[in-house]
Amino acid sequence: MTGQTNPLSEDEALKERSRFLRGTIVESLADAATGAVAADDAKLLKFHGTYQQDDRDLRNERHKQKLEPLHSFLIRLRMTGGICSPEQWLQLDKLARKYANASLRITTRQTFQFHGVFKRNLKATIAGINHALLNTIGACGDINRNVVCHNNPYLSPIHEEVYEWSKRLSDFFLPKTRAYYEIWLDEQPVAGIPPEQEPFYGKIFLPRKFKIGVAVPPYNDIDVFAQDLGLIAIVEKDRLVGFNVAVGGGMGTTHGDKATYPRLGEVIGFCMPEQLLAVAEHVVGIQRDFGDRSIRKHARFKYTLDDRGTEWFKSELAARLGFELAPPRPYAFTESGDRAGWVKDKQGRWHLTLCILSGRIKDTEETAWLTGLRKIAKIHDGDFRLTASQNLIIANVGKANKPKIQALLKEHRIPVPDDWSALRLHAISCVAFPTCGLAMAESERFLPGLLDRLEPLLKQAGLDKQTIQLRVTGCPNGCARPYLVP
Amino acid sequence: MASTFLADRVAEDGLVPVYVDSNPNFRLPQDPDTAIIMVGPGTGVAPFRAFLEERDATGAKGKNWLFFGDRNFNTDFLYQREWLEHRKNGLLTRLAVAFSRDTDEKVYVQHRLLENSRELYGWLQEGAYLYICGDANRMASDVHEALIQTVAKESGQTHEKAVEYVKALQADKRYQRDIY
Repeated sequence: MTGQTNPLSEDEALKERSRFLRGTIVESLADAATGAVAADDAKLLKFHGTYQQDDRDLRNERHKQKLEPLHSFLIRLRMTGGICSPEQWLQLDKLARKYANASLRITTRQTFQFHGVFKRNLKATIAGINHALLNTIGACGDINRNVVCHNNPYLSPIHEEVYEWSKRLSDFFLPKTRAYYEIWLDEQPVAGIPPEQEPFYGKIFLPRKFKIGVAVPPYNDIDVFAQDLGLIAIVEKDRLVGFNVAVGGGMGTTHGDKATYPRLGEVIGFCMPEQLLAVAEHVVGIQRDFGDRSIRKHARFKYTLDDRGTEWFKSELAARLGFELAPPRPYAFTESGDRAGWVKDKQGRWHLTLCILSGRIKDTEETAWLTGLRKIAKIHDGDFRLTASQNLIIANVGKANKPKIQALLKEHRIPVPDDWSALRLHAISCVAFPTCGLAMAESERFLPGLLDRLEPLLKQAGLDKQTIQLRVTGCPNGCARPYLVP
Repeated sequence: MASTFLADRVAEDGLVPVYVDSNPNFRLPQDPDTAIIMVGPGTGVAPFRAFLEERDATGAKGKNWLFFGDRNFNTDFLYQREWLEHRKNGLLTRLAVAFSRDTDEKVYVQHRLLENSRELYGWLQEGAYLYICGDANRMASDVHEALIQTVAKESGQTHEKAVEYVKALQADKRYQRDIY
């Protein structure tokens, strides 16, 4: 079945011998003499939702002091569609202050990241996330990542239905190995049962990460064409009738490697809701079986598609499904990004979209973001929704709570987006220095100063209400999706 | 290690007389195959750099085990990269560390000794030498007590017998201290 002829890469061999993602992670965590984990374990840890990093600002200084780099871990959550409850918010806030760098970061995939967690606190943090009924399984690694979906309750009445489908997709692609529960949650390995199986993924999981996103036209807030598998909800007569299927989006490129390139997803057909899981299973299954496992930089789904051709893909998919996808239904995207500010929906509930620069929620000299939002979470009767533009919707606010929330925002100097320029509202940056190991240039730390300089210029030119998309990224991997600016 | 002391007492451009206080009773074992256990929290770790370098230079085959402790792992792990390198090369057989201010409950080197009591006693039974360097006020006596507890626990003997065992180590020059 597989098209593999070249030797497997070292990363594939590592997965194969990892005993379903266990490796020597337990031993690495127990080694108190270093803040790092063994190199192989660092790779396996991604599947558990965490990356080893180090503070690049301190490298030289510490080297002179005969200290190893200051290692810490990024922890990324799996949080389908970016929705969490106030109780969950409070638990994450507590963990961020106790174990991380007192900040929560909203990612461009609608989830939270913790930064700066030291190895000795890694287990307690991940366990704490699980106590909030959230987890970090497969948030990084060669596996299906956090499923993003349109989640604005004001804009689309079918958002709940779409969210349910996103959740089903997310659950379907969860790994079955108990490694996560044994390592982080002290689950005892069960003796005497048949050897563990990973029925969908197998021992070596996917060749690379895989991203799924669900958009609801006319809003393309989740950048559906940047997904490996993009699903476009088709609504007819106020009813969800199915999804157009877009395949092969992906933003990453490697600097100086012309064989790598960003690619937009292409729409190949339409499926009904009840066909969705089977379609997703086989799309991902084809990539699992035919993706390049010898050259990692060529392993994303987009290259599999371009190497073999879309027609080949469609016929392979039809053969596996036992039916052909219907022709795509008409749709039109006219909006991207978020609409900031307060809105009231037909049921009388209020929703506030707050713009958060670089998605970074922390207390600064100007704004007590973390403290303010913690106090709001304590009284909030709705939920929180993270957007793919790294913004935050305080959703489903009751009438009585609205003035209280407004007062808390004011008290903590949290800016109401109405005061922001269009440029600031839509600006995105990746993390870059000091923690990202791939960064070649500043990004998140550079953005505020850049905005301060650009805004007066735009105002002078009369362009301050014009939507200009500013995306800042510290390397060509494209975490801030610079290649997709419309 | 004397920076605070000097900063308080010495004027700018002041002259400080310095001499080496040699300790003839703090030396590596004659036999290069003999294992050594080194307990050196804080600046007490200094002589053990020299111990390991000497054992490396002479190609001594004996096993080496270091216990180090300090306040914070991130900032106070003196010569961390050297120890990790020695461990990677196999020169440092074992490395046990305790950082007292990183956790709610304070952990010191003596706790690490007790946690490793079985292996520690095993090394001593095989003829290992044990060295303690550093603080004379609390650490040296805490480690001494932990050593007696270790022997009592792992040999199944009374406290008195364990005290005798440790005394015998001292008499044999297999338990040496350089404390201040």
